[in-house]
Amino acid sequence: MTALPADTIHDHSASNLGRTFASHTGPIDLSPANTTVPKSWANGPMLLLLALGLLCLGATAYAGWSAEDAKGLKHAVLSYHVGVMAVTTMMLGSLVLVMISRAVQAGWSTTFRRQSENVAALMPLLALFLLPYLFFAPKVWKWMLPESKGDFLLLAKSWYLNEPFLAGRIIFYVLVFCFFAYKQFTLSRQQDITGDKALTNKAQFWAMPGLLFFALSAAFFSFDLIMSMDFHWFSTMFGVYFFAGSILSGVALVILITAILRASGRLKGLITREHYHDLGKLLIGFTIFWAYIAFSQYFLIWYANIPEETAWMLVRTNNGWQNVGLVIILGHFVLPFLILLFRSVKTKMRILVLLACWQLLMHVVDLFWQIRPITFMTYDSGNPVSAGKVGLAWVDFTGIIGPVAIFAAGIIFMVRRSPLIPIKDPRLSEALNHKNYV
Amino acid sequence: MSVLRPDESAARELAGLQQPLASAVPWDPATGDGTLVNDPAQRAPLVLGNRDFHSITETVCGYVEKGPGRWWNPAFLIAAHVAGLMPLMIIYLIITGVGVWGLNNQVDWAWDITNFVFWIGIGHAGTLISAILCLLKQKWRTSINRAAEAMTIFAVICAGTFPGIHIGRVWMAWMLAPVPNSNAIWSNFSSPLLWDVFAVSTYATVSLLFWYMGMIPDFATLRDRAALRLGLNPAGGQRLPIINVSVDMIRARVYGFLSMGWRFSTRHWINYEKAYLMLAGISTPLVLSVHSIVSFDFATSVIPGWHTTIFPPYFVAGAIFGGFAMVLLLIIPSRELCPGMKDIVTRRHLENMAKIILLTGMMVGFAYAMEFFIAAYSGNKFETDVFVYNRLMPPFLADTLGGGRYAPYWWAYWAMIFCNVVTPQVFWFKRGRQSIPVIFAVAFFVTIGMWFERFVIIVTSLHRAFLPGEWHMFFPTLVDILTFVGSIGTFLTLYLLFMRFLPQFAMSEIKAVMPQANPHAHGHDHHTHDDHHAGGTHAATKHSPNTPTTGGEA
Repeated sequence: MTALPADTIHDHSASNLGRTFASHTGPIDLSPANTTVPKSWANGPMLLLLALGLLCLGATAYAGWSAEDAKGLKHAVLSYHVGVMAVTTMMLGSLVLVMISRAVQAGWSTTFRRQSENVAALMPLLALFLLPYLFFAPKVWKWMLPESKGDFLLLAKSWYLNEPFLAGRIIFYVLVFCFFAYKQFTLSRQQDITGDKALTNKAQFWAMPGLLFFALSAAFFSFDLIMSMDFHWFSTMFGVYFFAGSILSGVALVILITAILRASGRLKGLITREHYHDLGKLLIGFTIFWAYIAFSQYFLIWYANIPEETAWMLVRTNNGWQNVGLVIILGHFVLPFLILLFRSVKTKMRILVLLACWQLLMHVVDLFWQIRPITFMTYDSGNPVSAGKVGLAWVDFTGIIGPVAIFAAGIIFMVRRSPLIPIKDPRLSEALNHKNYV
Repeated sequence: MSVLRPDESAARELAGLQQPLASAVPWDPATGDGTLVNDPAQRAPLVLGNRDFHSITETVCGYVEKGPGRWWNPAFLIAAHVAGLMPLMIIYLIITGVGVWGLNNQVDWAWDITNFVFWIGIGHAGTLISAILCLLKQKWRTSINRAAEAMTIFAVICAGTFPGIHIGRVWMAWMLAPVPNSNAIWSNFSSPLLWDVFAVSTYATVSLLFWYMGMIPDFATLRDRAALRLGLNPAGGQRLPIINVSVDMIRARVYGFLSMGWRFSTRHWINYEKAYLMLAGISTPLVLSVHSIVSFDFATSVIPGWHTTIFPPYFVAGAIFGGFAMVLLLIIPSRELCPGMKDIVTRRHLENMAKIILLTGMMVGFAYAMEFFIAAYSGNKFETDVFVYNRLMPPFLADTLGGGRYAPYWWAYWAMIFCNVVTPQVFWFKRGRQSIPVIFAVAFFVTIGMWFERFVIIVTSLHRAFLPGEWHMFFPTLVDILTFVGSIGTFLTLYLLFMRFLPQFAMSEIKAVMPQANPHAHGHDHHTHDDHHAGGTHAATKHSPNTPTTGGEA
């Protein structure tokens, strides 16, 4: 074997070193200038987002109110439903991300964990967003309509699908989500002040039952809020599918929030290229996981080909809805998967942030594909026959942007209230020293 | 003997260990061997006993050179005898016909496929530990990955046997492969059973490569140590009886062949690390794909209890669950029986594995609950009937709850629930997951439970078709049982051979996670951020890839 010229080898290792350590040259800056934002930070954007959100909600409400027929009202309601589910999944994804990193005693995630905690702590918004459902519940849940009451399958399911039980369940889910989000947030905030190491163990302690309750609540939440909209259909995978989308959007969201904070001159040296590299790995990991779950669900239904299961898929793969499905397959999986495979992409913040935004958008499209076809659905003895054309209208945008914009304003509000990182976390040094070593 | 340690000073020098080290971690009743620390500012040490790099080499190579202990010979003898049952039963099966099994017209998949899924599931923990935990940078995996990978290979060997012998006409086994024959009969590419052949053989290939590649540096160490002893003392040393050949000569030749010219050069290590990362990347989807496809074998069929969309992730979680239980069943006795192993496999390692058992056990429990709920929610009477009257309803509740009907396999179902869902719950409590006898007992129950899970899925769904005329019970015959017992013997025999002749730990990886690999560490303390991280550069040495320090070994 001919020996390589010495400088070739040298160059190779030098470029490796340069890549790995470029972000770790200066001293770590934990001063308030780097770890907090002023109380009035981003006031303009926050108010703008709030105004936009309220305007959109108002427009959606107006569209529903002034609709000439029941379909028009349903269109507005379901668009809003997509928006609420998008916000909920982002909050749930952030919550589960926090609880997982607590449960496994993660060190590297310490510097960005606060941002996920902030998002999860917005959970009471869910209660607020769900309140209007009291007025239009039968538009979301067909089984509440009087004409569905005699349905053979509904009779078989009435032990589960009845109004009081559903209300009780939803209250329970919201309480569970809010309680565990509140626990994680307050324990972390307390540590900012006291620096008590025991609080870390306490947060870990609460993360364990939190994950247990979360798994069951999130699964049944998805059954109740999305799956049972078409009460004939069922899939044991649906809860996992919902979870996969949630955690993917949770990772994408934390990439986005921290990138905005870095762009505004904060978190220098605290969330580094190394963190983004690993967050990028999580992003591609959960992208693959989502695709795996989505594929398994679709594939098993397609292969077994039982009418009671395929109906749900059929109406979503006809009349133009198959194009939405294709956008999801290519946009939510194939494209980001192929791009994120490259290490150079995961370590380049701009592309990574772009992909995170893209995945959030695709996540909304995924929810849109699940929920919105019901608007113009026609049924034959309770079985969905056709979802009609996609029929995109401005109300689709206002219905989704409304809750999302208010949620975004809420994030800005939360970000300003506490330090950007848990400044006294005992594992902070691990996160500050985080390296990928390759 | 010091002449046999030419590398020690070099290793010390490279690692900056000229100074005598601080005292060893003392035994503390609160933290066990010192690894069960509860302080969030501190990470538990991964190797105990204040060892230097050389003593790791001595310990790990010692298992091969001196043997893992006196217990090995009788253990091997027993295991090999039990293993002999397997070929015996298979030959009996082939010369007599599948009638020797308890199969009937209704239940044509029973013990064979249960055993197949059971063993293939066990194999998953190895790949999970070596690939997924590697990508997740879980350093504690270094102490158990080699044993788990070996276990994977042996479990896949046991698993692969069963589909081959259950096809009835064993001489037609080649039809499993997509070989076109003269009549242009091709294999059925739309059958998950065929995908299974591809999935399992891919899995076996990649796992074998992963396992073998990881062992190459350790083979080279064994080779060099043998060669060194031969060079120092050509006439002495142990010799084989009858043929009178030096054992070290055989070692130098065989391990030399297996190490493929490994010379510990930095260039070798760079390639090794890259290849390792790539294999980890390739193996990770395999962990998911293999058992997903095994689950497709069932879930694509329109059979109540089989066709449910949650099957793929549910099977994967179950596989990891059962696999980790088996790792614990093997590693806990090894740790007691092999000298010095407690320093490498600490209490913390066992606790971590107990936590994974709890996690995956809850995932499996979640899947059971989802299946049940959706069966009830779907309003599908057949689905509900399978769950309630084929699986759940015990005879003593038949009159009060079951309307006089009970599930004939209720005992299998409740054994599964008890073993898989109930027993791991003790790991919620620190006292449970930190007690070695408790961990061992739970791992034992989980292994039984995961076997029953596959039995429940396969047999309870098959034994009653849609018409009562097609209802038949399945009971295993002695041949069924002894074939399975024989596969356990085969598995243990192979594992014992591994313990005796192959390096049980990846020495270089263990050395890289030792406190001594970090010359800047003071004891095991992680300092708070105030006095730490003045500059980032020291991290370069802190976790430098295991290259130069271990390169000089042997």
